[in-house]
Amino acid sequence: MRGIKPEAVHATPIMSALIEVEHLSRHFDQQGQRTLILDDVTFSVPQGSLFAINGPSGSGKSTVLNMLTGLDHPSSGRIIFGSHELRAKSEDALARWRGTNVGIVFQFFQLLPTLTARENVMLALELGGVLPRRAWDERARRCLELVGIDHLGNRLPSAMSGGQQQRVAIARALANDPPVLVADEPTGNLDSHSAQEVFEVLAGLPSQGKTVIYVTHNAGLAARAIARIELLDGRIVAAEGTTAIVRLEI
Amino acid sequence: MPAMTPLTHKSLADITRRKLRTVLVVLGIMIGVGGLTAINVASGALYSAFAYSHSERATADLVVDAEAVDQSLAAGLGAIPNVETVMIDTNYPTRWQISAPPGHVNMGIIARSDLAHSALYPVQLSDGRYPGKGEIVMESSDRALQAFRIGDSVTIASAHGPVSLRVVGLSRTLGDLSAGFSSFARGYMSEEGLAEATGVDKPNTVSIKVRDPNQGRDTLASIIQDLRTNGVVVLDASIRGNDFDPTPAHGLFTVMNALSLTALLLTAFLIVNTITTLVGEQTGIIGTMKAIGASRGKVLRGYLTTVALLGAAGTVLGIAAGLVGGYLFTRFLADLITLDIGPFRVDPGVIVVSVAVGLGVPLAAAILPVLAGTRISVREAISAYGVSGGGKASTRPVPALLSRVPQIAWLGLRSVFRRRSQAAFTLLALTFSATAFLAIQTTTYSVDTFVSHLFEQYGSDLFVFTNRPQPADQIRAELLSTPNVATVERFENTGAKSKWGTVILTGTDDDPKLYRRDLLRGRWFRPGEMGVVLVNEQLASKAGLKVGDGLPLSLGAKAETFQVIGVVHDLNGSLGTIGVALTPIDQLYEFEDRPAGLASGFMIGTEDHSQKAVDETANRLDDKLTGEGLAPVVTTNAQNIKRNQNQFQVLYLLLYAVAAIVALVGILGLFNTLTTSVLERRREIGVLRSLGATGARVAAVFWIEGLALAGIAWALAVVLGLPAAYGFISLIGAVLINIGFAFNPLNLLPMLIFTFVIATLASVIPALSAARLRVAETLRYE
Repeated sequence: MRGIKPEAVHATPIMSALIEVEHLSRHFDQQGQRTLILDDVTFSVPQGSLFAINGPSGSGKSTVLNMLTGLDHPSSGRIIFGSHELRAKSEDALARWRGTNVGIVFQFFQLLPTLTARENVMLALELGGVLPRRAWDERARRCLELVGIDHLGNRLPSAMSGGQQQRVAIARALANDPPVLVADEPTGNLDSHSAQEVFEVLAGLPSQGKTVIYVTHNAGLAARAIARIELLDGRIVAAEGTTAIVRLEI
Repeated sequence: MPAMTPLTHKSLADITRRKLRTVLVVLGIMIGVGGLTAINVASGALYSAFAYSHSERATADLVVDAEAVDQSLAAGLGAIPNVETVMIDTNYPTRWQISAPPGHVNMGIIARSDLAHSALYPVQLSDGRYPGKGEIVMESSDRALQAFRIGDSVTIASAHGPVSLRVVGLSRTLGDLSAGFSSFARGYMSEEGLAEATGVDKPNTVSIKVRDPNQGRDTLASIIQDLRTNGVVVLDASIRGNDFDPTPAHGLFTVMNALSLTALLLTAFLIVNTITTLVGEQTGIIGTMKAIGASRGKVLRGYLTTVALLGAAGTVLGIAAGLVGGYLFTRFLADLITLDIGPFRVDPGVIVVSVAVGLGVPLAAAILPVLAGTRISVREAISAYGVSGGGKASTRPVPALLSRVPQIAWLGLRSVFRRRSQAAFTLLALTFSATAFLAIQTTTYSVDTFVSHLFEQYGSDLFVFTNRPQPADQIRAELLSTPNVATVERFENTGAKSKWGTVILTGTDDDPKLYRRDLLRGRWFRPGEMGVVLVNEQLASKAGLKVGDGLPLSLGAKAETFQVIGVVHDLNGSLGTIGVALTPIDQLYEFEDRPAGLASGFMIGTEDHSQKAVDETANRLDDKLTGEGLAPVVTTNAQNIKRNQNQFQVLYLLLYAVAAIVALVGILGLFNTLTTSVLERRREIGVLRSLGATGARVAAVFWIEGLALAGIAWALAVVLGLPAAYGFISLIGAVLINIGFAFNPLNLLPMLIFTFVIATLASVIPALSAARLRVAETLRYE
């Protein structure tokens, strides 16, 4: 008979937890059938860490990430982000919250094709509303400088390589100085050289006080993380450098 | 500090990115706003011109046609109570020889003792000088019938034979229909000049202006009495309305406003289709913006900014075009009717309305698609990004027969409903276009049919009118003695006033052979019957008349109630009239106070009905009657049909302008859909190319998709177009003239061709874009 044995893993925390995820579950009901995407997931993300969510395709990695950023809502459980619980809010409220608290980096970059690199970064500043307009240009320049492509500020995305576009996306994510950066397969669409360069940019951010959470199916990239969890079929099956409830099959 | 925020820049970039689409949308808005502006400018200017011309031209309230009125009678007439102004002049109908077939046109010459100081109907000399003996001043618009200059000679018909007169001046007679429109020329001569040329040496028209028009009928009766007392034979007397009554123009502008609103509706459709496509293309971008902190409101504002920019561009261009177009249209109408426009001014309210419409309509049209498109959640938007989308592929086996259809064709046909809502919207735009096209076709066909049937009604080949009533039997004998003349009937009509409007009171013989009695209800006249009328369906409907009712009419100084004995089918009509009432012709003459036994109008039936024979007969009648000093007006059916067709030209012009807008909407709607289809199926295109498909085959996929949508739209439009055409023709009937509904099934073929042409034009660029796509481009990241 198969069963699941919960095993709490108490690793030595490197720093205090920024995000607490408690008993998170997500399911979809379609044509009378329930599909379980996440099954009672509990873990924490240490502040200032490079945190990996690893697992094969269909394990629920992106779903976890979407719920951490408010792009999706859990069926049960809760997420405590900083000192606030991320409750179900309106789309607009969540959008405003994301603008100042989370920087998102997508697998396919998602830059606006009609705006230059600098304008894509300034767009985040315009939407976040943190800085006054007169400060946007300088801030955008600094963010692009941080990721090493300030000289490409006037280029449109169509005139940039994949790696360069992803760096612009990272700069955009940093624009409003959020405490957390979230990246879903940030190197999944890049060649190995570009992937390496982009990952190094991300990996360098915790030293500047950022918490970086990234999803990857690549074990090698996952191994670079200071803390990580491994998902399989919607459950955490391994964890390192963080507090998590691991649920192994018996 | 950036000059423009990124969101604003994005809104602007959404316009400049797809230049052709932007141009077409701005053009659509421009045409809608321009049409509305032009109509408002023209109607305002025209109504002002009517009022201005009325104030400038002293017109008569009463007119009496008589034989040989001496100028000395003017003083006595002026002493009659309520008479303010009296003018006695000569009205001489004749013919002017021109080079174009049939070699002459009808003409009216007015002769006065002092043309420079006319008490009523002043002559505006636009060039040259007033005429002396052997000279004539011609109306400026007469040059539309035959070109001439001051110094040239024109030849008119008279009792003495052809007379050559030297043109010494050009005139503008306010309120007259342009000669090119009416095919009727006008000229001015001195009394001495007319007497020398034609032998007519006594005036025959008395024009009166009264102080109180409400007492006009009594005053007219007094004038007639006074003239008869002085031995003058009175032939006709009428109470004139306002020569510059703009009421008929109301109908024309109502139709034009209906067309303008249609154009605006189509513009709104254009916007909805374009914005739906734009928002659909940018699903991923919407998701990204929401993911990085944009509220729905901010995203919405961005797209509405795009629409506002498009609207502003179209509005500015539309207002400019509308002002120019409105001015030109006003000049065109003013030339048709010879009005003084006066100083051209534009009411600021016209600009305000155009701005409100030009910005308001696109924004209102865009609200729903933008709201719908921005409602998508980030998760849905991001997960849909980069996916070619579409419904489930069909897994049903293809029947053996259909398997013969080329796969390229299947690729195109299968994609028609790939995105159902988009397809539905495109179908709506195409169907609207095809429906409007069919409605326009049917309307023009109905007009043509109406005009051609109008004169079939009368069964005659020719109409003959003499300038003065003549002994009917004598004229009948003269006409019958002319070769090729087989039948002669008395026939005349005049405008009589009723409480519902002006009625065309028409007199026919008791037992007409040429006038086709199309009796719908009741009975025809009995021999010698008086005091009765038959009304046509239009008059019966507008006045609510049925058999047995009374129809009160007034004409000149007389008023009488006629009993309705039947309802007939008679298509005769004109702007400002409400229908036809038929009465025995002796009744009509008696109502007109005409001496018994006289007639001035006849219908002629010929033995040889060929156009050549009819034209020759017309010329023979002309010569004969002119030689007797009768100055006849002889017209053939062909001439009458052509003149009537010319009068509908303005309507045709407007309808074809709307047809152009309609085509534009259809093209853009389909263009948007196919462009999106190409964008979403880039990978599919890449696969086709990698399998060996040529650019032409790839293009064919999208062309077939376009044709399929067009075909479905055509079928839907066949069902919707006929009621739409019926509705529009009913509107024309209600405000202008009742032309009746006529439909030719063969018109469905040009409509099908029109729909396929639209589909092909709309497919060209998307298909070429697909054909030129390289395989490598489809593998690049978005």
